[in-house]
Amino acid sequence: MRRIASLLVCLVCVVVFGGGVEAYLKLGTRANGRSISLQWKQLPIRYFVTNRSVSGVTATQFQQTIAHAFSTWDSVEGVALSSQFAGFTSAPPLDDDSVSVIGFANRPNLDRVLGQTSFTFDVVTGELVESDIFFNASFQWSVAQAGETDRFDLESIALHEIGHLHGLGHSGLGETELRAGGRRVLGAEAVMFPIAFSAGTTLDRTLRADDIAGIRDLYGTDTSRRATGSISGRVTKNGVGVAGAHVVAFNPSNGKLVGGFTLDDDGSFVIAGLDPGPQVLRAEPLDDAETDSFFDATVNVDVNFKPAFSTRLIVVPIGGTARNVEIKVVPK
Amino acid sequence: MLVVPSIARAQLVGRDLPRMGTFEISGGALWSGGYSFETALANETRNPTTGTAPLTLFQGKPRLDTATGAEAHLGMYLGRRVSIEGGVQFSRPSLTVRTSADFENAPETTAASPITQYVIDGSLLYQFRSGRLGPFVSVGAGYLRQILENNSIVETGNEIHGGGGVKYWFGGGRRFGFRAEARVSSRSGGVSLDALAKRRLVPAVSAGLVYLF
Repeated sequence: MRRIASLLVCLVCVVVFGGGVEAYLKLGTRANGRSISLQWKQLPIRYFVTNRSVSGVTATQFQQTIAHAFSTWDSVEGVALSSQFAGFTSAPPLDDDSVSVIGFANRPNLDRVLGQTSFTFDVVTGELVESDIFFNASFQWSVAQAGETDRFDLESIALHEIGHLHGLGHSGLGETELRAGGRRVLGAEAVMFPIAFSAGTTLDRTLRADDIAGIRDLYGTDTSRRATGSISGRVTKNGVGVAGAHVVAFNPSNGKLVGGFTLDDDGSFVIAGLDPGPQVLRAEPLDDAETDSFFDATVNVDVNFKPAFSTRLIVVPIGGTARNVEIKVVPK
Repeated sequence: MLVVPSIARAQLVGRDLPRMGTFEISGGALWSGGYSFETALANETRNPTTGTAPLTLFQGKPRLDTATGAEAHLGMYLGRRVSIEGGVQFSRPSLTVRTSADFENAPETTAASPITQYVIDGSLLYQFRSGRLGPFVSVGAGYLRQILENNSIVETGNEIHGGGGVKYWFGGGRRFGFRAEARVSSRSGGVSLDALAKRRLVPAVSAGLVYLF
């Protein structure tokens, strides 16, 4: 039995869907009362590319850019991932046809959506069987090596959407400010942050520690799992769990930031794929994007608390989990 | 009249000075200094339209704190003034990170984790004089072993040290005494919370009892 998961949207992209999710965010579903991550079991991931050009991007340039974005994910050290370009097609993206298609689509009504990813998956096993991506042709795009003023960098946005295609949700590692017409990113440390950098920049062609930890969590080899560790714990306010808190692990030895979320009313979280060694933990409310960019309506997100640090310096064991961490926060 | 007692004392002390092959065991309390690591910045990539410098989410000042502990030595005299000894130090300093300058005004916090630290070393000692109060200097090298929380990670390194102190011998038998020492250790390796591969200076003082046999 298969069905298409629903889509969500933000300026850059999409995602989050019905069913439970696990920390990171990874995309997931709930089957027989347990959470299952969505991921590809059949590798390489075969995808078609539409043979459509838009202003500034030919179909060939588009295909090459998509292939490069796939290879960036595939080449993460310690990850068992592969992809294969299956050919050009005239089929539009977002069809439920068991074929993964990536291409441009005219969606002027989605005036804040650069791209969007949809899935077909097995609701029992969580196996992804199809994923389509469209890039909104209503925007101006660029494949120039150094980027182009006022045009969005296709490779940066493709890297984000292909992260979704692999099963990753949005990251909360970014700071924004409210402006007329929406939020503007001040800074971000994850390609999977839901709001894009301004047009003209190419900074999101490079995966960050948070993205790498996420993809290793989904597709990491046994060797990489044995070489990394995780942290599990709770975020509490007056002794009660906080749902939807963004928890960041900071490695002072190398400056890496990796985020996760509390996903239930108990305030529990797990952050995997971390470097072994001491880590600083910080919890903050999810107030730098719309909460529905991260969670579906089943998560009762609490944003009424002040950011706080754990008083315990957490030592992540090699291949193991540092448990029973509690971060206490206070109301705003 | 003034000269005679002085000679008598020298003969007495000289008779009781350790000879080659005499062993010395000592132990006592230890205070070990700490050191700071480079300030760590939790940086995010800045949106180029809002500035050029990275956006610092917060900063952390990592440090290995001072600690008290215990030490023990077993030495052997190679002559009246020169001895060698092996020793072990044990202490439980905390590894801390003081977070501050949070972008969203999170309160400053010190996150801490205790570590278990051993130094196993060897030293060469030189005694300057043969009296009830005997100053000495020492130099040596050692092996550093630091065990992080829950025995999850072990970091090792090495050290070289130099210092000095005094031994004060009780009573006429000159077998029991008090020993106090200060040393500076230059460490390489061990736990690190920055990317700098540099030696770190650690002062230490100790005091305890000593016994000759």
